[in-house]
Amino acid sequence: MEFTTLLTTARAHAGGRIEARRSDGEDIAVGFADFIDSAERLAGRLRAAGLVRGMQIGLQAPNVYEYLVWDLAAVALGAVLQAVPEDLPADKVAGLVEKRDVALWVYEKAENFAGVANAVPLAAALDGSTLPLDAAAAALADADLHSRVYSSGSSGYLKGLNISRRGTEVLVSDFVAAFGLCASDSHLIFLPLSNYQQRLSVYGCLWSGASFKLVRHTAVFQELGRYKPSFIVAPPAIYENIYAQYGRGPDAKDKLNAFLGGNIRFMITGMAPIRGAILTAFNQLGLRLLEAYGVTETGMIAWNTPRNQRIGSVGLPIHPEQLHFTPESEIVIRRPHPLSKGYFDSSESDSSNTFLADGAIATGDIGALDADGYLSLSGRKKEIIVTSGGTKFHPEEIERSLASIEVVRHAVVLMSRNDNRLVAVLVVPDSKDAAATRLVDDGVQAINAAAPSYKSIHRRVLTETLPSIENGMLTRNLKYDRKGVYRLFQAEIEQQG
Amino acid sequence: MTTIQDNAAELPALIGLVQQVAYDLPAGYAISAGSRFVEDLGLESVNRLMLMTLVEQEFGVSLEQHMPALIELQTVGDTARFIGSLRAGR
Repeated sequence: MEFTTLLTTARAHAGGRIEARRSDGEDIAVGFADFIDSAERLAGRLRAAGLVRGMQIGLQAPNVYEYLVWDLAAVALGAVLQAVPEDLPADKVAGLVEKRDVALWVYEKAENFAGVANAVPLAAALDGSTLPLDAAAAALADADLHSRVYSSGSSGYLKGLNISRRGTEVLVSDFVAAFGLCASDSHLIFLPLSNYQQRLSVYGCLWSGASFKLVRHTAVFQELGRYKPSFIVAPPAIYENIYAQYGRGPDAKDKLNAFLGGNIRFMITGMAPIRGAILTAFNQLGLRLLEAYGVTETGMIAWNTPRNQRIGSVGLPIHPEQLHFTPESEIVIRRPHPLSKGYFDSSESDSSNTFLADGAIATGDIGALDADGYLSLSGRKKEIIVTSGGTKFHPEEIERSLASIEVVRHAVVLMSRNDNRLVAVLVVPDSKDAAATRLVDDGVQAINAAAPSYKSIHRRVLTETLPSIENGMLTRNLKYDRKGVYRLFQAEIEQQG
Repeated sequence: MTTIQDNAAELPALIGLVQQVAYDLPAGYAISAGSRFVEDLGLESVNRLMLMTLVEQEFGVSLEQHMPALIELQTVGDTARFIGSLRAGR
């Protein structure tokens, strides 16, 4: 894929169609050529208003048709689209506006941009209205800067990422080739476009001629059966929910096909680990569910594809020569064109921990390659437990065993600070029930018996409190917040005896 | 306080659907009108989206226009009453 020819290439795909809702609430379906016409008309108006290459267009909007028009107009002009998360509150938006580095703001919620002179509603993409640019906003000099996006860190604050033009081109090209995207494909996009992954999918579809439909995430389950996509990209929770409803019983295959629309060629999952049983079940039922792995800072790293799949791994590295491991088994990527060029609006330590001085990107993930070159992940570097004897291991594998005890719904393994012992915090719905307690203790004993002594659970803390973001047991990315769990149960964790 | 008289006719069928989406709950866990989606049942937003889909199929209602109201509903009983009012065209 190349941005310089993306618009002409997309226009030539006569069968390519986009379905989406416009900001005025009307559902529309347009051919690629009409869409590109709209984007080029908007680019012409922006140029006439004074926009030049490198200037920023800020956009805070949900998944509506005009979002795509603004994005492709920016591509046509070489402008930098700053994609602000849809749910960023007004005070934070005001902070971005105050910087005065964006030439034109585009919004859905007028209240977030009250009194901002250089702001227009989304519909201005199509209605021919005046575009009041802030001519004082400087153009950014880096010709490789394609977009500015935000990703939420696990602690909830926003990290701004500068996205590379060339990095995007390489990644989209790899994706189109590995998954054989073509004009007969159709893709349902429901995750927010402000998350850059979705814009990569848009570029991939436009380049290959695959039709796509853009919806809000709340409509995902209804739209699968309605639109009948040939591929989707979704986090594990989506597949787990679908499996729980339709994946069991003798007619599971028919029920799943009916729910998914019956046209699925492949489905991709990533963003968080998925349970092996779910992957196996979908694939055994003939629905190709493929696990992939990447980080926004560098882009996709490995993926299972229709041609090469190994369940339990995240697939073959896309470019094996770019994959390296530190002595601690942390995955480090060294590639000529990473997806991101670095953070903006971020602390120095964030930046230097991830973007290493030699140009490599440290993922923070621990992994290993098997004999055939498939990559497996075993957890996050910052969560590694170091025993008093210096042995290092990742708590997730013990947590998986503990969570398989019948009455245990969640398991978090931590090291006590006072006596350096492994403590398991176990969520058990009926924690005072003697039979449940016995099941837990028998289960823990069996797990301990099968593990080396340094992985032995010394104490267990039983609770009925379900993990949530509100009580501090989950991060905003819905992973266990080990510090939060420790804070909540510190007294019990440190109780010696 | 929720009483039996308050409960909508949709409650038993809704409890069945909630049981389907709260697949993480231990077998035999009793879901009632007072069960809270997040605190008691541990439902995440994706589970609630699936519940919406099942509710639309089961009760023949369209919920798309009612997202802001649905997000505010915290218990199974409140939701049953809300569906009841939609079906009654109120």
